[in-house]
Amino acid sequence: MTHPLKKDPLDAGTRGTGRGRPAAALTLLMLLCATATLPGCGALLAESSSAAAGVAGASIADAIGAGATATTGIGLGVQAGARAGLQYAQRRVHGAAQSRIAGVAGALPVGGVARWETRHDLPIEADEQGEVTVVRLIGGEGLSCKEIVFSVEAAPETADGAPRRAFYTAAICRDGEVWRWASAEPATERWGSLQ
Amino acid sequence: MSGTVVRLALVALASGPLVACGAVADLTGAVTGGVAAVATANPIVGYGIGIGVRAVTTTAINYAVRRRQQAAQDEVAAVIGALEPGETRSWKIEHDIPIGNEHGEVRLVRTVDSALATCREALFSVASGGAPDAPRQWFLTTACRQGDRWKWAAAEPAAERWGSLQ
Repeated sequence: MTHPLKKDPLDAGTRGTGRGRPAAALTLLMLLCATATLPGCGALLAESSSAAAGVAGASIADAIGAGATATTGIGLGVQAGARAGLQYAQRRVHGAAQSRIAGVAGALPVGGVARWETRHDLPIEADEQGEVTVVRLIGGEGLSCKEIVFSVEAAPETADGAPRRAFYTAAICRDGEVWRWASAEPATERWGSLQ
Repeated sequence: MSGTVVRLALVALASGPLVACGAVADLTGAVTGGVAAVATANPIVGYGIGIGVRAVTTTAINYAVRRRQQAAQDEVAAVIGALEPGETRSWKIEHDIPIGNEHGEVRLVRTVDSALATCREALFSVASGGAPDAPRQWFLTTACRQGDRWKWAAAEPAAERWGSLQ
C-alpha cells in the first residue's frame, strides 16, 4: 500500500521568504539543503535567511536616508520577522510530514507495514520516504492511539542495493477521522541544543 | 575561528546554567559589527558584518552542541542494546572538552516487537558531576537496532508541541 503522492496543501503559500539579491544566495542554500541531507542545514538556513533579510532591510533603510540607529533597528526588525517566518514554514512542512506518516499508520492494523513518502513544494527540508508499522494499540474508552515504528530511507543506496535505513518510534492518536502525531516534547532538561 | 568561539561558548555555558549559549553568538556578532562599523565609518557595513558573524557563530555552536548530545545518545543507546531483561547497567559520557559530562543508569522496560525493526524502551537516569549524591532525574526513551549497533529512536515531538523548541 502506497500513500497517494499529492502536493502538500500546507506547503502552499509559504513561499517568498526573502526577495532580491540576498534571496538568490538563499535559494542556492535551499537547493543545497534539499539535495544533501546536511547536518544542521535547517539551522544554517534559518540564520542565513534572517541575516540576509536583515542586511537587505538595513540597506533599504540606509538608502532612504534613515539615521544609523533607525537603520540598525529596521534591519534587526526585518531580521526577526524573517526568522519567525522561516521557522513557521519549517514547522508547517514538518507538521505535514508527520500528518503523512500518521495518516498511513492510522489505516494499518497491528503488525501491518506500509510505505510513506513526503514531497515538499518548499525545499527547506529534504523529501523523505520509508516504511511504517503499528506496534500496539494504546488508549481506552473514547481514546484511540497507536505506537508506531517508522523507517527513514537515505537517498543514496548502499552497494548491495538496499537503502540505508534509520528507525524511529512515535505515537499517534485519532482526532475524529484524522490521525495526528502524539509524541510530546522532550523534558525541558533534555532540550539541549534544540532551543 | 569557529573552534575558538565554540570553546568560548562552552566555557560560558559551564560558568552557570543561566547563561544562554545563544548570547555568545549575539555578543560576538555585536562586538565584531561594532568594530567594523567604527573601522569603516559605515553603519551598514558594520551591521552586515555583525549579523553575518552572529549567524556563523550560532550555526557553529548549535552544530557543536548537537554533536555532543548525539554522542551522549549513542552511549545510552549502546547500553540499552546490551541489556538483558530486568538488568540495570550504568552509562557515562566523557567529552573531549570535559564540560557537561554525564552518567547514570539504564533499565530495560520492554522490547518493542515490530515488523520493521527490533526496538527497546528503556528508562535512563542522568546525573552531572562526580559527587555520589548528585541529583539525578529519570527519563524514558526508545532505541532501535540499526545494522550492527543501536541508535536513539525517539522521534521528534508533534509540530504543534514544538513551541519555543525551535
